[in-house]
Amino acid sequence: MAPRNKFILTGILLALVIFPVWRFLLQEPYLTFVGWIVAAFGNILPYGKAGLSGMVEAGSGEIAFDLFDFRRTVVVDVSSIVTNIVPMLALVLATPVEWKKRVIGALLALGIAFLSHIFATATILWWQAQADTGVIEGLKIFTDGILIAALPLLYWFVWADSTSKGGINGLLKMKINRKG
Amino acid sequence: MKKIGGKKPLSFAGIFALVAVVEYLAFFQFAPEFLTTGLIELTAKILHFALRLTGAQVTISAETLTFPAMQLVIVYECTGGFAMFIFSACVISYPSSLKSKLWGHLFGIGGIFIINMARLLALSWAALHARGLFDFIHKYLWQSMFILFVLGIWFVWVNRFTGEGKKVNGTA
Repeated sequence: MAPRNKFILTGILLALVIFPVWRFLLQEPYLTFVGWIVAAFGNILPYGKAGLSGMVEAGSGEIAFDLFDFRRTVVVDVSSIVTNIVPMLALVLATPVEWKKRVIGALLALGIAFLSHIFATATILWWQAQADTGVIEGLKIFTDGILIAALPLLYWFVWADSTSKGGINGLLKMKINRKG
Repeated sequence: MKKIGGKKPLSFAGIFALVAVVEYLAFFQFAPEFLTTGLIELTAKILHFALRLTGAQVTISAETLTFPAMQLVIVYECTGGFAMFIFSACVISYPSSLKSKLWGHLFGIGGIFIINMARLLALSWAALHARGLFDFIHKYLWQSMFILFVLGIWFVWVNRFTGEGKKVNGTA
């Protein structure tokens, strides 16, 4: 089997293994942590002082925020946003390099994904709080449509091409941007 | 910085990111109607047609499909349009001829459209027979898998349409 085909197949299988672990064990406490940090950013972002509300069902993939300045509760559905952790880890762990590099790459991926989730959740909360139909809506659509979706691929391009001597070309027996 | 990877580790990723942002901004500002509402209506009509072939009881009104137990409203996010943007950025960023890039767009956008229709058919099946699975497929499964499909289609394009596959086979 060609290395690239084996890589994609391994990536899909790994995603199928990682997904239930993420969805049923880790997502809930993770969302609480993300929500707590996004609420804390209310001190500097336009949605103002915020706190976590307990009004969402456990496992729903949503975070509820009490926005004190707006005197209302806003529910942000982040389930599809945070799920990009799954393909991100699957791509890194399926890459045929030494396991030590994969583990370091996966840890770095987790950190970058975490920052992207804080950014995306804060953007969506901002958009929902102000019912914006201009720039913030554009930023919101870009964030959950392009940024969050493309992040696993973008990270993997950078990580895989810089983590081994042959770059992606060597890893997958194909050429990537050797001419610039 | 010590370079341990390819000669220009960041260049491909950098161009990819830039192209994705520029494409999105251009789309957000100037997209003609056939790329927005047109794609939504096309997706809804093809899905309805496919479902009717299976004998499913479903009706369509503009971009809304009505099932016995629920309605499915097709919005831009449901069309695979954003995945097409990402694929397009991959193809444009990769150093290859204009002709192969054009073929790449035809092949990749068509492939993503077909994969997305399969996803919508799975969603419709859930809407008809397993309502409890609907949110699971809608919110999670596509997000977990689609980028791997995009990458897979891109690998096929690089291998089949850019001539790199021949070089690889010749040296392997």
